[in-house]
Amino acid sequence: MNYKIILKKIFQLFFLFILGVVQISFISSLPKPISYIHLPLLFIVISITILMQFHQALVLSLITGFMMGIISYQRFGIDILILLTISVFAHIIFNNIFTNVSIYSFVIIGIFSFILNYFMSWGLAWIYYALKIFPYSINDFFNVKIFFQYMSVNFALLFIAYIFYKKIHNTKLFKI
Amino acid sequence: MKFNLFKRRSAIFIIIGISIIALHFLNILNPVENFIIKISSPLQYPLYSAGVFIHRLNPFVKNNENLEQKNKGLKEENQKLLIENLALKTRIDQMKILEEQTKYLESKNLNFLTARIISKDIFHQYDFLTVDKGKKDGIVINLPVVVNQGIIIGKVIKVDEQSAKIILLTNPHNQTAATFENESKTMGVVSGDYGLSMKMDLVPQEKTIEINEKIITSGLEEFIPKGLIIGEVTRIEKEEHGFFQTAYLRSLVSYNNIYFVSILKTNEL
Repeated sequence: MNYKIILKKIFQLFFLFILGVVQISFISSLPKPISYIHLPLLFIVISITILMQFHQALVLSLITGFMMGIISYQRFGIDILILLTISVFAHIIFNNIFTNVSIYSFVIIGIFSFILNYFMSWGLAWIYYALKIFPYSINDFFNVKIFFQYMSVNFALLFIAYIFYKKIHNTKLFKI
Repeated sequence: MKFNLFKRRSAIFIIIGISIIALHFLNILNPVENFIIKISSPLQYPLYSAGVFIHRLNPFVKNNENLEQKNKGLKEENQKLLIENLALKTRIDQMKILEEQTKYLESKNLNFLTARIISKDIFHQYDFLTVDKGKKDGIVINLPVVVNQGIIIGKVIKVDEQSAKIILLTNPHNQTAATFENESKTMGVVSGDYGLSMKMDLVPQEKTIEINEKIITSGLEEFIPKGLIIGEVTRIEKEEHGFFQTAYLRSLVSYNNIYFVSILKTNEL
């Protein structure tokens, strides 16, 4: 294998490691609602819709999910399962319904991913609780304020990423 | 062909994911996880501190808005100085708190260990902290975690080789036996109130509670000595025909501005 490819792979792994560390140490210590930002999830949506790199999204899910699991309390695996599921479903939706990078595909896949993450984290936490892995029951399932703050802050970042992408590619911003 | 490749890739990654989870719960991945925590903690601490610094920056933003209205010309200079000042103040505060903490615990002849917070885990309303000390440093489950001059903020709930997880007193599932400053026996149980504040339940109706009265640990639990400050009373709730009353408490420290904690390894205070 060419050394440039090896270096590229090492750099990618290092980037994913840093992404995981930034999420668990930096983002989570910021004031709410900024702490609701889910960087790995945003990168997965970007990988699938803009970069069209499904394989990259899967690797990202595994590594950042693993990092987030190590640091979390008794819920190792929840993040890996959520991120892998979102990658697979987002890819299926993108390939079968949208196929191109338009504002619609970006928005719908983004919203789908955020909602799936929110509800899966609750569902899997209940499964972990039932299996006696996570010791606490989750009573605060649907807090409208938290849900909207979480959706807004992540969606705003996703939209910035989309505008940034369009600026780079110098194409019409709202292509349908 | 393309669909088969997608299916194959998805299946491979899902199998790898499930295998990693299984290996984790079988404790086979422990050395790998410990190694990752070891190499990432020097990076995690400055990142966590930066996050806490931004948290503290909030009041500065508000102040700056007022200054802007008064004198636009001084805005940039003022902003620079304020940021610089806040950065220095944060550093001095950190050192001061750590010094005070150490002095206080040493004066009481307590066996303790200072640890740095390396991350915060927000899961629904439950806040947990991760510190950079673990089994290798002699940390065990249920040891009390204190800051400043004996203010308890939580307990150790999980210990790994290189790190430990702490449950905060504001967590609704945390329960600590407590009493009033001038009482000798356990008077109630303190638990978190939706991750925001704390409440002390099971306090007998006949007990007269004062607003701002200090609540301390009662020493009933293993490893948790009597006299650690939990917080002070802000509100009292009494039911007319009930046996008990509830006191709502606030902590004397902001849990968002903590960089260092001390883990007590003693039973007596």
